[in-house]
Amino acid sequence: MNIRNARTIFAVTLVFVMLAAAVGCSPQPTAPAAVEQPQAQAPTPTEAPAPTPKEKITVQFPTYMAGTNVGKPWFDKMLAECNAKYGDEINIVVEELPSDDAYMQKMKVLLASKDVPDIIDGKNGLFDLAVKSGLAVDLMPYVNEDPEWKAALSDGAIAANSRDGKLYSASLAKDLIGYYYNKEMFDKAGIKPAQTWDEFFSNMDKLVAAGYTPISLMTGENSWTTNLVLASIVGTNGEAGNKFMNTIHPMNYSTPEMIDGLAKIQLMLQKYTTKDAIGAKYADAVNNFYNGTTAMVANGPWMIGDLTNPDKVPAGFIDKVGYSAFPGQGGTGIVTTFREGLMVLSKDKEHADAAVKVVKCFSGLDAQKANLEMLGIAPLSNKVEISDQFKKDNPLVAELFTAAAGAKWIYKIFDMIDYSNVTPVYGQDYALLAYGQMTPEEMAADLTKAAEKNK
Amino acid sequence: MKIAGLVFGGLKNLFVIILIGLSTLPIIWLFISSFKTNAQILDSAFSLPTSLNLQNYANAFKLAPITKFYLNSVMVAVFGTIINLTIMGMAAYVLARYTFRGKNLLLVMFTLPLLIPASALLHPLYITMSRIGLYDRLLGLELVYAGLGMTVTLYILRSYFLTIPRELEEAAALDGAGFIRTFTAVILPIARPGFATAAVLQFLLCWNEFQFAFILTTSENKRTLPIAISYFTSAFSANYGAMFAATIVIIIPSILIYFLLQEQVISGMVAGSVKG
Repeated sequence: MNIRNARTIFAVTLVFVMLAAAVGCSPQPTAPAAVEQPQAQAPTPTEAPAPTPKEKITVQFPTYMAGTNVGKPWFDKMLAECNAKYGDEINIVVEELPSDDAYMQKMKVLLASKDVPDIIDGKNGLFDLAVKSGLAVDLMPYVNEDPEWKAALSDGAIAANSRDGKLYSASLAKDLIGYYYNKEMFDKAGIKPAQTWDEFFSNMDKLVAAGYTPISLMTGENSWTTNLVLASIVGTNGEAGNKFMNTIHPMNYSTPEMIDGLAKIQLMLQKYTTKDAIGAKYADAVNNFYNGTTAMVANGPWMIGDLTNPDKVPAGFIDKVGYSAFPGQGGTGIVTTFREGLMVLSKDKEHADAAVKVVKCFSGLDAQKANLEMLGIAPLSNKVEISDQFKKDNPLVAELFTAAAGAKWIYKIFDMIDYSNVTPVYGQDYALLAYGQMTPEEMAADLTKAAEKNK
Repeated sequence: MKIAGLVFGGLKNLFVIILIGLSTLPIIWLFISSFKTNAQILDSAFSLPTSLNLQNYANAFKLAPITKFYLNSVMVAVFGTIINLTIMGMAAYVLARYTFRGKNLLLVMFTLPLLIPASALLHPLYITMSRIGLYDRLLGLELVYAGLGMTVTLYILRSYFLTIPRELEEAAALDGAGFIRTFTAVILPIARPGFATAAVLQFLLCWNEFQFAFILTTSENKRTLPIAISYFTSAFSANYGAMFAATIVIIIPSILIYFLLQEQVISGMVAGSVKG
């Protein structure tokens, strides 16, 4: 056999392998993952021929609300309603990207390649990336055309999601965040939710004396529960602290309020929290509260569902839990944010118009009401009616709303105000802070250094 | 002398026991934890389950489309391995047996992919796959995995081919066998352990890879098993029990494949270390 024949056989073998693989994995036209369109009814012979249906616009909509995500039931409900409303004209193709990190990672790759879906969630820095890339569609003209939607989004959410007069994202809900406390432990320690931070620390001493670990903190992931407490210490520390916690992308963290806040967190990490706080993840932090190890945990209303889940808490646990605003200077404080929501990145007007309709489904009054009823998340608009019966059935949500109504200070969370490269610094430095290998001043300088990289 | 021998023997056994422990304890822990509730796992990581809770396994299949992903993973792993072994088997044979201009340069080029971090390949591969219509296709994943495992397969097979005496090929040539017949009828059967070793490593790469599978697919119909694991954790919720149950289900094929081919794999690994 000569070389030429050998080459031919080699080439044929390769082609065969490729074909086998291609046939074996034959691409079927993919049915949209979560969308089922109603079948059009066939006309009877006596009926006049129906007009040719307009071709549907396909809207790509990746979501992290999949798997165990607490928002999945709400997302599925809204999707079903949107399909019922626009199923004849829009084909919503949902890509489930379970886990927030994986969602972020994929969106970053898509944004970098400018090959983006029609709708994305602007969370965790994606908002800035999308705006910076020039791909984000300005929603302001759409909002101005639809006064009902504008009212539903509320002025606060529109302002929070606008840059230079352009609205780049529609918030899905208002985050009101205080802290949960174990009423039984508080009673045994003879304390009530504190009104000032001095009282808060005095309460923690009393809880320790009563044999309890006062608070669940964590330094893993994005240091969520710890950073909520830090944000509250800073955000309720007079006008300067509150201004800092309402500033998007602060550059200087070496302020007296931040240094004071970090000193307080250092003390909490050293004296008032669990041994596993360093490196602990969200699941560990909340579980320490669920199993009665700690008396307090800072978190949002989405945790309320867990408080009746027999897989997570003992029966009747929810009756032992209260909800409070954070203490503060001259009055209480509560985290209030209009987090970045859905952004439209469509490349042409036809798709953008369709995508906006879908975004309306997820951010309108009905969606906000469903978010409240299913997850206890506060609506953006005060037009969403919260009935007395709902408050009676959901006492913790009612406590949250009462706490929010009486709060003197409102402020954002670090995840929202920080540049995305600042977030990992907290987790690294909290550990050093806890072990006394770093001072609050040094940590503040470290945060400043990270922020300055964005200059 | 006898005491020294006993001490040495004891230390050797201790070392082996530690190695076995390091290899098997995580899997045993995973298996035991897959029967615990979420609260039990978080309360005490090393406690035994209070009951044989099979609900986690049911939840694993309920929360994530594991069956569909399983089939996809089998397809990708099998075809990704076949493509890789077919192409690299031929390349390795030529590079082991023939001398030609640019051979060393070719070898260096085959080695280069090892120096490129996978994350640096994400963006260019995404663009390439999108442009050539292989985005969200199992074939796209198979080709990517075949490429990713290229260097390892080449070096395993080349080392193995080098241990085969040239006399066998010369005898085949005397009997009238050409290049292809020599390769398929003489070399391939002898090199089976080498192919088994490369196949196991390539299969595991295809079976376990997450990043490319996640970025290069978009629909549920084209996703593979590693992605299923991410269905069980999210920012404010996690179901560790179901995740561990799913992990057990997912790792079974890898363990089986290695168990079935372990003798061939070991002989294949060792063969490369001694040049005949």
